[in-house]
Amino acid sequence: MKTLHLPFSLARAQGHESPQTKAHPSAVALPLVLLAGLMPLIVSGFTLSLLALWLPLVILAISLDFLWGENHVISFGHGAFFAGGGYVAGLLLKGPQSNSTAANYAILGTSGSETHSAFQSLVHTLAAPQLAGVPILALILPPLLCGIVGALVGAVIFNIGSVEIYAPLVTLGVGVIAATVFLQLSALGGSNGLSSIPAFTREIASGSQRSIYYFNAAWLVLVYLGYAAFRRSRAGRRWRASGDDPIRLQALGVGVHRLRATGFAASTALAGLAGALYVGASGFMSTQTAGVLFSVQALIWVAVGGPGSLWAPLVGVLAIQFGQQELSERLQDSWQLLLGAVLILVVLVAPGGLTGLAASLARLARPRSRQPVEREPVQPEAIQSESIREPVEREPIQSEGAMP
Amino acid sequence: MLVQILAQGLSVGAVLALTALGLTIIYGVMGVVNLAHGEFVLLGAYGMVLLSGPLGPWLAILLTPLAVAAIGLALDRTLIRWLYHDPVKSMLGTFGLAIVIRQLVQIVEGPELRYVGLPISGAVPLGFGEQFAAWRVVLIGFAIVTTIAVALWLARSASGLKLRTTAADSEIAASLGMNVGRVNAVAFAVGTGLAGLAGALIAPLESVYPNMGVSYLVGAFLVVILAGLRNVRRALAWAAAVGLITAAIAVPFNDVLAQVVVWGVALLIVATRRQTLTVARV
Repeated sequence: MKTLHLPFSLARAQGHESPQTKAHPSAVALPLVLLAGLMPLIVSGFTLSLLALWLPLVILAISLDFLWGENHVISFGHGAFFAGGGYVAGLLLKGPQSNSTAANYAILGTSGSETHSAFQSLVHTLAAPQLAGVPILALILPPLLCGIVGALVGAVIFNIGSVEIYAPLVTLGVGVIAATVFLQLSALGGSNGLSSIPAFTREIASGSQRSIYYFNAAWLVLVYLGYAAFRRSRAGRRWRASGDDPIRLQALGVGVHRLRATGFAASTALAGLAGALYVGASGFMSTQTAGVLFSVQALIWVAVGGPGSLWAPLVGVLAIQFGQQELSERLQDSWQLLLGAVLILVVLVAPGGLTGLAASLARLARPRSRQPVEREPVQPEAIQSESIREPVEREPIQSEGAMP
Repeated sequence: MLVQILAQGLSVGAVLALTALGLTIIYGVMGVVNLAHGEFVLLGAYGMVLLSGPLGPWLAILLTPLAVAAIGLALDRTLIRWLYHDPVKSMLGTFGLAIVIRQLVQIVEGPELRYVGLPISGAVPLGFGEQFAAWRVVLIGFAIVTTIAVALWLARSASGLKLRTTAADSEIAASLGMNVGRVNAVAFAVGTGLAGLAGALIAPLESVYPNMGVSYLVGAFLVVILAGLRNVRRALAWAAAVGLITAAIAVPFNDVLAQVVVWGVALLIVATRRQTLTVARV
């Protein structure tokens, strides 16, 4: 009998935080709100507009970390959901276009003014319900549609054995196909993409950079709080368990397939929301974002941040995007090369990412913690005999341990 | 039209079969899901671009897979060996490798499209008044001969037996005195060599550019998802089936529709069957 094969977990290799030590939402809220609120006072207007663009990417990274760090499922297709959400929101924010010619609105070969006008009236209807001058469905439909598609994809993925292998392959295919389809839909601008999409804050603050930043920052804080609370909750523990040991959880009477498919749908819905917020800041969405390369870049954020760690999405996105901002001009083609090398390096050397490295450093800096890291080197043959005979001296349990 | 579909479907299926066979061998032996596989197809195509001029097309077709296999061998000893038997790690690592290879090709050879002249021009009459590029017949022939050779090598030769033993259980194989490291290296070289051959064969039919690898990777993975990652025979059967179905839609309609339909049908097939993919063996 071969040993039961459990899905590999980078997070577990790093030492998964126990539910008790997972950060309390309030511990997340204060620094995050302070940081987000004070940022406009610190940085320049240009950096602020970049941050407004990157905060939705953090939400995308959270949706991936929710799958990868907490459930050991890797998706190579989240870029497609991000782009899909962005397209839906973009269409609704722009509203019906009266001046574009009907010939531009051929959908998958079936050209003609009928498709055009039907599509326009659909957009018109959907863009009608407004709140503070914003078509409110532009924030509701993207996560909803992405979630529905994600539920279908999830139903397929978790029906196959060896989820950790086949989930990436299926999502890779879904992503590539979605990108091809987006390219064919001329309602989405084809290879030109959708451009000059107005911001969500166009009526409230006439769409100034600062207002866009605050809008996205508020959403990010909301999502982060929700994520932190979820990780501590019963549902969060169940979600983690369904990734750690699906067979045992199934034996305990939990419908693992449905649970994981639902989780996948939730993740894609979050990716769709991120896409919607992104187009509000960038004013632009093209099929490049749906492609595999962008999906992998999103995985690289999480990998560099450290999957399974609460701050990984924020750290990963900011580190890579600042790097890209600084270096891509100078390096051009070599920037992608560097990104690939970074991915290989992280996988081989630092599976815990930056947050994992920081945690190891913190542990090294505190030698009097409960689990001493540095020990006297012991001869291999001495380990068995000595460690069994003499009980290892333990330090008294610190009060911060919060033992029940 | 039927003959056209059959002919094009078989040539698409032949390329799929070569790439999926390589993926299956690599995964079966060392548990590495090679997301850089499309980039080895890319290297094969560029090998053809570079070698067919000075050496002539036929020598280039023979040498290119060997060159790609040598690159694969070197990469296995330096990088891939750290990723054995760890699907998630191997996928991320090999995707990093894929990006590196693609960007290196782009930096060295430039992003523009390259073309290779057809080694034999002309068309083969297929009856019913239909024609077919002669090169596609050569491609199908090459693929069939190579596949049979690899299958025989796996089934009958001593080194093939070692490969299958390692695929069944690498620890047992090592304890029986086999040099598992060498077997793994050979398996990776053979797998990447097959991808290189696929690249060399399609180079005269398609435009060659740095981003071409992804579509071959995705095609091979479609086959592998349907066939399971460890079964050579089913991989070949599904490759032919996928090729034929794709052509059956692509010839009368268009490529995009064919891709969407094939993926949709594949996902439906996978969704309706239950956990049959992991039990199969090489």
